[in-house]
Amino acid sequence: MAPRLKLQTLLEEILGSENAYFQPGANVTMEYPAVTYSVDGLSSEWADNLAYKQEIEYQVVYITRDPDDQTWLEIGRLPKSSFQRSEVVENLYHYYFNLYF
Amino acid sequence: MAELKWDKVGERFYETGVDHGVLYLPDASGDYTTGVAWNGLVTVTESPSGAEASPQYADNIKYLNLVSTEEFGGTIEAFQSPKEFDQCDGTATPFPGIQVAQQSRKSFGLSYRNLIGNDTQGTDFGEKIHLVYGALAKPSEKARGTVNDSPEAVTFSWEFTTTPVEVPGLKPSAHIVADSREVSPAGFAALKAALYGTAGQDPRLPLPAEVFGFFGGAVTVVDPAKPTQSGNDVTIPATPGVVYKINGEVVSGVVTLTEDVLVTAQPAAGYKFPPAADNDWAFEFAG
Repeated sequence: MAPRLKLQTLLEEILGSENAYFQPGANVTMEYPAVTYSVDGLSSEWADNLAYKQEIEYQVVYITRDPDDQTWLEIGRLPKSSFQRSEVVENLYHYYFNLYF
Repeated sequence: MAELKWDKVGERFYETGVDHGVLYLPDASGDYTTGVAWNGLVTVTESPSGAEASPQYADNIKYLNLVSTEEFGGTIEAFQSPKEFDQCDGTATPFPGIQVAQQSRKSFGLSYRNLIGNDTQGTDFGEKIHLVYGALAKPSEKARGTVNDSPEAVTFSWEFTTTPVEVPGLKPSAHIVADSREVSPAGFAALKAALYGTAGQDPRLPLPAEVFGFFGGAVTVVDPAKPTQSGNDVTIPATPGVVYKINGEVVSGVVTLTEDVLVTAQPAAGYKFPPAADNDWAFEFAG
């Protein structure tokens, strides 16, 4: 399975639903709680004069209506995940992470 | 007479990068006949030492400087090492996948390449191939760290010292560099064919005398003749410029088999094989 599809499966398992959206367009109607994730960067380690090892950096956003929802902590516990910030937009709680996968 | 000019177009050279790492293991006769690719090479640091001046005083003056022998050593940094390097790193493998540390360390040879760039052609301008002989790796620290929020792979590091080998007409040395800008293209191609192997020949590290043969004059192309078998007797051809070996030992004449053997051939100094020439032949013990 391609790494991106593995990440999709992993996020769906954390959510307990299929509300994980990869680079969703503006016309996508989301159900909450949800996770959106998109490519945010590429980490390369160099050897033999080439990019020997590469990992894609995703920006993962956990979105929920419940201010006491603790699911976002599970995303923060993933290997190579780092919490960036949180914000409230239109009564939706957003938790931003950077995740290498 | 000519006036000096600095930084002319096409003469702004620089060196960069490291790749094409190859590990060579010596056979019983000290020839480096087995080469394997070393992937994940990050840096090779060359650290020559010695050549220290020891001033001697007499007649109330500094009378002379005695200089100690120069030695070559270095450090290899890589994301991994080929499994053939385990024996050079003091690790034995009694069964596949089982590694036992603190064993005897084997010496090894190494080649690697760095690129030469200039202001007009970038890094495609040229290359230097480094040949290292008689290297012995020291025990090294390997730090295993937890996965965290950054995607870093472990970089391993091996410090090595060397024992110089004979160099025709010069002091013994453990480090030879071939610069593509200055050597003959045919000789450089022959050196690369030896180092990296061809369709018919395994990669190997030629000793300095053979390296000089690539560049010091005309290289004679010789096709290695196949030994012939009659019963348990294998007749080794007496082809000028071809050295035949069994288990790393040089052989000639008639060899009587006591077991299945692999006869290998390698070119003598000043000779090379055609790229597609076969240079190893298996013979079965007839019983």
